[in-house]
Amino acid sequence: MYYSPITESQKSDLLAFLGKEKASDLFEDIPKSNRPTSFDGLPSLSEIDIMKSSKSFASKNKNSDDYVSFLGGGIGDHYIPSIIKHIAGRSEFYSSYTPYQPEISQGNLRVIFEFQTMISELMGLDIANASLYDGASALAEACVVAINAKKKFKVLVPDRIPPNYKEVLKTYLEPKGVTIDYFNSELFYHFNVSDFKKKISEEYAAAVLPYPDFFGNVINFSEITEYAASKNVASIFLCNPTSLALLTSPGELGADIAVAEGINLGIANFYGGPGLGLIAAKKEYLRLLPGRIVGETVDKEGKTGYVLTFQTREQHIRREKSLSNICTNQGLMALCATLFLSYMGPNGLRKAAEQCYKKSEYLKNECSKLKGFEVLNRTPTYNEFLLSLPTDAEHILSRLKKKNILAGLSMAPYYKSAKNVILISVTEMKSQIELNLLIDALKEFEEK
Amino acid sequence: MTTQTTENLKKPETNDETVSQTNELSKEKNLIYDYSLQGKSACRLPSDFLPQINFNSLEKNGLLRTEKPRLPEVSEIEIVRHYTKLSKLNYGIDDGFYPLGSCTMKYNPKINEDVASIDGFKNAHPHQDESDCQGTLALLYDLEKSLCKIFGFSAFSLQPSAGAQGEYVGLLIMKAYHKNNKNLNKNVILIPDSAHGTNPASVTGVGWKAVNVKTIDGQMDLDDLKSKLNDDVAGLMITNPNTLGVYDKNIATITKLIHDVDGLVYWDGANANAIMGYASPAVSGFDICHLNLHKTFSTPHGGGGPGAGPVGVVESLIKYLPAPRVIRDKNGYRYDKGTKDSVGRVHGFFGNIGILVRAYTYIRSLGSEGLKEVSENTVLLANYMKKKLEPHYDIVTPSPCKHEFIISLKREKKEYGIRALDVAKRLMDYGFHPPTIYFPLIVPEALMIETPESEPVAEIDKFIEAMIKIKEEIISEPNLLHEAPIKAPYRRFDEARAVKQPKLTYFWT
Ligand SMILES: Cc1ncc(COP(=O)(O)O)c(C=O)c1O
Repeated sequence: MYYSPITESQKSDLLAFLGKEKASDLFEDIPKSNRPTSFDGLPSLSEIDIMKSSKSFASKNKNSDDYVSFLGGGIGDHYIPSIIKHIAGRSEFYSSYTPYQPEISQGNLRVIFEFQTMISELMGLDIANASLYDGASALAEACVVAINAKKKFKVLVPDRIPPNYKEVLKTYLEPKGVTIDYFNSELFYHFNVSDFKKKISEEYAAAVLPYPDFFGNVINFSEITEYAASKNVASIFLCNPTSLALLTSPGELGADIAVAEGINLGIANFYGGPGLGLIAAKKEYLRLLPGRIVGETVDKEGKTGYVLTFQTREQHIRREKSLSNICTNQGLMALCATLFLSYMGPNGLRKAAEQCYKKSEYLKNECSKLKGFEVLNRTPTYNEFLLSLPTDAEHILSRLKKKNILAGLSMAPYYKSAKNVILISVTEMKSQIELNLLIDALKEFEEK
Repeated sequence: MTTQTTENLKKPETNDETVSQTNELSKEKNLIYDYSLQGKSACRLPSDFLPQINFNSLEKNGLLRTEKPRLPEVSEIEIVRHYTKLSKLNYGIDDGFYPLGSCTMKYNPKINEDVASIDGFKNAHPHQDESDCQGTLALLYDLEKSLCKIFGFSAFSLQPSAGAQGEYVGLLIMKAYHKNNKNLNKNVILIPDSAHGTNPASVTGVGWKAVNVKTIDGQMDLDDLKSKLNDDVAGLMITNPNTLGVYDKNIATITKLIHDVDGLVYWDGANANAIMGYASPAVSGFDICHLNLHKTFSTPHGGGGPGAGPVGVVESLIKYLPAPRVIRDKNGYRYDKGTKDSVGRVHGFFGNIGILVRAYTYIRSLGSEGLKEVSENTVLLANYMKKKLEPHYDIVTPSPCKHEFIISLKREKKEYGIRALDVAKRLMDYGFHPPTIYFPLIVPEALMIETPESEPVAEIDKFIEAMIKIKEEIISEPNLLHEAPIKAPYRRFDEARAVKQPKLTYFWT
């Protein structure tokens, strides 16, 4: 067997010490009727063969190196500084357990404390936890926080959160007896703030405010959050953390809770996971927050250090009364994000966000000039926007793919009236040449 | 950290270089923010080629951020040094034995990391066409088939991000099943009193009620179970081997009793490391399970995740699994969008794929025989250590134990005022990560010791020796334990203060 440090003769010695002949004697307590019937037959490969075969699997994937890609929809093609893999690749970090023993876990605990600080800063809120699984479950957990805070069982959600998030919300909230009311806009891509405001009423625990939304729209929700607060409705922002060096923070716009998918903070796409669920909130929600939280304290000699704290919220103490069941979260990804944010700093993150914005604006302008094309967004956007094409989206996307361009994500599977519409995502990674490549390729489909 | 000899363990002052170095480190104020100087930056982005574009439209709408987020302003070398230092204040599996019961802290093979860093896997975007992800889809398909083979279930969903999310999905499957069968009154899940906290928390999470069943002689008390069976019972969740390290012999009887009231039985597979090749939960009558790939299948714990908690089911429950799931047809691999009975989605995309790639690599390295040997060796080491410690400690787990066993320090507490926490902290002075403490809740002053198969016998012997020395100290020098740890980078923390005077961020006010 691989990795076994125990020799056959050591094994016999231990067995003899236990008065057993063979290893299987240690399993006599397992009744015959429980024995497996299908277990045998999986082969064991050498390290050489595993590597060869894994590369062969991987070669059947295309990835961001094979295409000029404008795919987004929650996960973009963002910059990952080299330091991340070198530091997060240290096994003192990746092979450690959750820091329940603070005296020998100050590495992880300090990282989490720094992480909580950085995420709170980005969100403009008081506290953040040590991470949740991903953006979708973070949104669901945030709704649960609001429901417990407000003791009401309805949430109001605009239709324009990512479609997969809707599915996750349903899976998490319906079994708890929570009703999700979706607010649909007449035109699927247009969001009428005052209509949404009219929907907000005292019966809701929370209103979800996507910032930016699935179509890239960035809306100033301050009027809504103020109104929601007057109705005792919590405002939950769903945001893109890379945008928050450029955009007014959720906290400043009146958010009570903010959540995000943090995969864009220095973490590989990896086909969508592991990602990083972020949640931050105003102080008053502290005791309702899910997951781990680290706080500062001192040791016996007065040295400053960090510990897991407010643990009476969590499942291992509160059991069936716990408001969330989360235990293992995404610790290593939180380390990656902490490294990323340290590396970028406030100015680097701002610059990257500005570039996302500018490159997106540039594409929007250029696309608008093309006959038969229309940028549908009517509000400011950050780094994604909706482009209506002269013909069927699937057709144009597949033609461009032949030129090694992934022009964007078709909206056709998600919205009936969006057969011709794609979502284009632009990040700081794109060069002028790549942007122009897309524009030139689209020109081919211009209406005559 | 290295294992210390007892002589220099008694004195806080020492000549041991590594230890004094580590102590030096922790004296510094050491958050990345402490290095921050305005104007410093590690980041080098390509220059802006669109100077003509302004932010007027953001500004006009009050959307342009005016106050910078307070992120640290530091150089690359400071980041690298700071986090290298922090890593040295941590304890990972590569540093030494990690006898953390219920957590299966086994060696994380390096090749898993290498496979997971192949660009074809790592840089794939989740919205790429299925035809462009055939490698990942094939891997996921094959992983699912392998898990089915190992545990006897008919299908798995690979979507859940950790064990707790798997439990949640498993309970939703029960809910959907009962709803389809018009068993709408069912709302109780029976759980042994030895269960992990996530079990009852998950039950509440799906809107049901958890009811405890007593444990007797390390196994489920069948009389208590029978007394709690009625038509409201939707099912039972149980870890087997349980959190005492005991394989419940009556499991087939238990699953039958539950099935007789039309309930379903859920196997919390956190302890799967103990039974591979020797027991099949599906054959034993379980209907649903989760696995913790970050335990049994060697993927790194990451200081608190990411994990992966695939959910397995028997044939009749496949239709309830979360969608999408990879299937194979004549054109290759694709996603099956699921039936109307599916409990829905729990991940924004497809799950923690990077973790699944590692677990798959591990399964292929070991094969069936290797996995069986994993279970043999972990159980062998646990029984060996248990027998060696039996003359010294009260061990509540009967023999043979499986992969872990529980020491109770109830007597030591009464006679010497020494608690499980004290022994845990003292173990740090001997260079070990402590075992899990105060779990399961039914054992007073519990130390839960697990011996993953990847541990060399010499390391196991050293740990045994340390435990025996500590027992002597409990009797002769209990103060050493009250003071422990003295050799770790830090002494004991004031945890109450962290709650009474909370400071949860650097800028906390
Ligand atoms: C017995 C048992 N069940 C469930 C879990 C929960 O698993 P996870 O932490 O992956 O959510 C754990 C892990 O800590 C466990 O030990």
